[in-house]
Amino acid sequence: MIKDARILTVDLTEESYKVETLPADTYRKYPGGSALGMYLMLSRMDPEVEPLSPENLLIFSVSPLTGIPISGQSRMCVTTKSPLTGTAGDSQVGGFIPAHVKGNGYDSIVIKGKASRPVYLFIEKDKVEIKSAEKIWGKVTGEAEKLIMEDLGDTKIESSIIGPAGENQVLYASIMHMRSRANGRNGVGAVMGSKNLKALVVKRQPPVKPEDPVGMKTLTLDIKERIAANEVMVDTALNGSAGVVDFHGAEGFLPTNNWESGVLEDYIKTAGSTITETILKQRETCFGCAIRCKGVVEIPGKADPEYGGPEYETCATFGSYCGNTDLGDICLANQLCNMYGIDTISCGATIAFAMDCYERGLLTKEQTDGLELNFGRGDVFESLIKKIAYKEEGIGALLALGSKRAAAIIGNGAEALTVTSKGQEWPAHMVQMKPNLAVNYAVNNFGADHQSSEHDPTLMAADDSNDWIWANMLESFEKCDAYGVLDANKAKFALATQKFYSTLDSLCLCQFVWGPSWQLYGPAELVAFCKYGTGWDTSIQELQMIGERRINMMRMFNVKLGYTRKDDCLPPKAFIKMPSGPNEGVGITKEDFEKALDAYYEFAGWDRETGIPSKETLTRLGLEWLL
Amino acid sequence: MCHRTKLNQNQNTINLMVNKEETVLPEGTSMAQLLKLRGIKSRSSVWVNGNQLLLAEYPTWILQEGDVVKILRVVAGG
Ligand code: SF4
Repeated sequence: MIKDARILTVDLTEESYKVETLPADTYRKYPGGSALGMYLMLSRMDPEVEPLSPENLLIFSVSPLTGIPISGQSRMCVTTKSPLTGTAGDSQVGGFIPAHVKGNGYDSIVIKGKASRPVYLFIEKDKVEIKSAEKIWGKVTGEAEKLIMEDLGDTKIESSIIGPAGENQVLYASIMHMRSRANGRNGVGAVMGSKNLKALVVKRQPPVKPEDPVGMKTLTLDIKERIAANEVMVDTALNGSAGVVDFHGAEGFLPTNNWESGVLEDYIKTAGSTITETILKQRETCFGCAIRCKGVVEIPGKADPEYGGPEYETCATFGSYCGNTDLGDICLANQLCNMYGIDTISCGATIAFAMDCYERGLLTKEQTDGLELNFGRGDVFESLIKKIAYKEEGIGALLALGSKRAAAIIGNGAEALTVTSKGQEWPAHMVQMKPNLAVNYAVNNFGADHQSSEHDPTLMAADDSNDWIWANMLESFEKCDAYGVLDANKAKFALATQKFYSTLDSLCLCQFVWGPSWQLYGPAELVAFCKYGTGWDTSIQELQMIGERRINMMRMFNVKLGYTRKDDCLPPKAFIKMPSGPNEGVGITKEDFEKALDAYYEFAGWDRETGIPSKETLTRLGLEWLL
Repeated sequence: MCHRTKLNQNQNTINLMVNKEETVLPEGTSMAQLLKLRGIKSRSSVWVNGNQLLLAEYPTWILQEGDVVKILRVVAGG
């Protein structure tokens, strides 16, 4: 059975803390990660608070499964009100800190208030200390990590740290772990900076023991064969997520020149396979994971292996988005974002937006501090990222606001060049190729996210493939044999897989390992993991309902702030037909999108006109308390 | 453009359409061999004359003269 959850609440204003227990039956409804974070935020905080005020909560949550040795279980969710989107905020990280937060005996760490001086939080089981970070404030993440180890006289720790961008409250600042793993999205680092909190640090602990070790072995013993039999996993282990550049590039669906096209000539120079062949130093992993997908690159004089290597999203945002094929510039941009603590997606996308403005004469050289922001100019990244991190007056301070706010200041039609949902820059998956993401980017409660539903190619998979079989364990879908198709079947797929991904973000599982399609373990194995890991007898239906509950909690948070269907919209560039390449002419129409949105609301039990969950839906999910 | 695979002299060939491209292949080519020739992994989904094949059929499905083949890569997230 799921045990009671232990919640540590730290009040930085008062410099005090307390530990509370959440009963197991409540924890089962909101079993960790994003679901638990949303439950705590909605129970304890007025949604109207200013995101960068002491009243906002910053909640780090793991789950009943975290730390039990099996691939893909060491992830931690940060929940807060996002300063970038103004909505419920959510961001996930992998690595080792999640397993050790759990190892120290906590399911959630809730930070409230604001410290009167820079501090960091150190946790070793029941010992909780708020320590001075005055000597660490201002340092980049790698340096800060070393100074914390020195301060504690202990290297056996794990930490989540903000860099100068978080301290300066750049609206898309990240929280960095291991210098290369990020709670990247939604500006969670800015919230941490607003609290004068430099780092969350935990003492390393032994792994969490599963309830049924023999049962667990049925999932873990054949791991090598399981990976070898799965082509995506073999490629992920070889090329990391950057391998997706190879696939999207070949199909002509790599967002290029701020989403004007999907074709980047020479995309192969920025591809995962090229990284593997040329600059890859090694692969790293997260606690207990056999995939080892995290790339570490080295380019002497340009990219330091201490800061990892670029993921797919980073290769795209600093590559194709900016019309850049210089891999060295991409790696340097990745490193600088990791040092300063900035989300590589929003940063690269905001720079691409600025390039688009510059090319069209909406930004002049005077306004860019003399930088020539033409597409293809990867050489500007170094100075521009620094200007953003320190919010230097001029172009730095402007772009530190993100593309949506910057566009409102630039004016003259710049808004039409932004590619955001709820103010968050789009990740690098084109809706022309994966139209269900058009629905997902629009409705997702914390802005566009590529990890919030399965991608459309699953509906193209052969009848005897896991992709097809696992997805159809959630609902029955119709097959699709072309790109650019957006209909009620896609809306159903968007919602059903969104629920499953929502559960994964609640149980804090890696979506490369656990999922409803191409991953290493499917829905039935997840039910087995819950049973063997914790003794929790669950079902796919219960798991889907957990995911649905979390989506509805987030929606209700936003509804209380006045969000409605009008906010579930797409930017103009979503409707561009592919102008060239192997899939020339492929795209989605506004009409198809609106119809699919209608269908999504219908399936979700939300009002079609307003996008607000009905009373029946909230009651069915046990969320009457939000009415 | 015609996609012509390197052929042995005297080898019998078939003409077919693959992703809207005229293609010439040795007689007896299986779907698995076609995917390999094009550098595409078997995780792709394929339709022959409008009917989708099972993964298990790829090694034994022999392509015929005049077939219309559609190959789509099942590209994952990331
Ligand atoms: S697949 Fe990669 S990101 Fe996911 S847990 Fe394993 S090493 Fe970490």
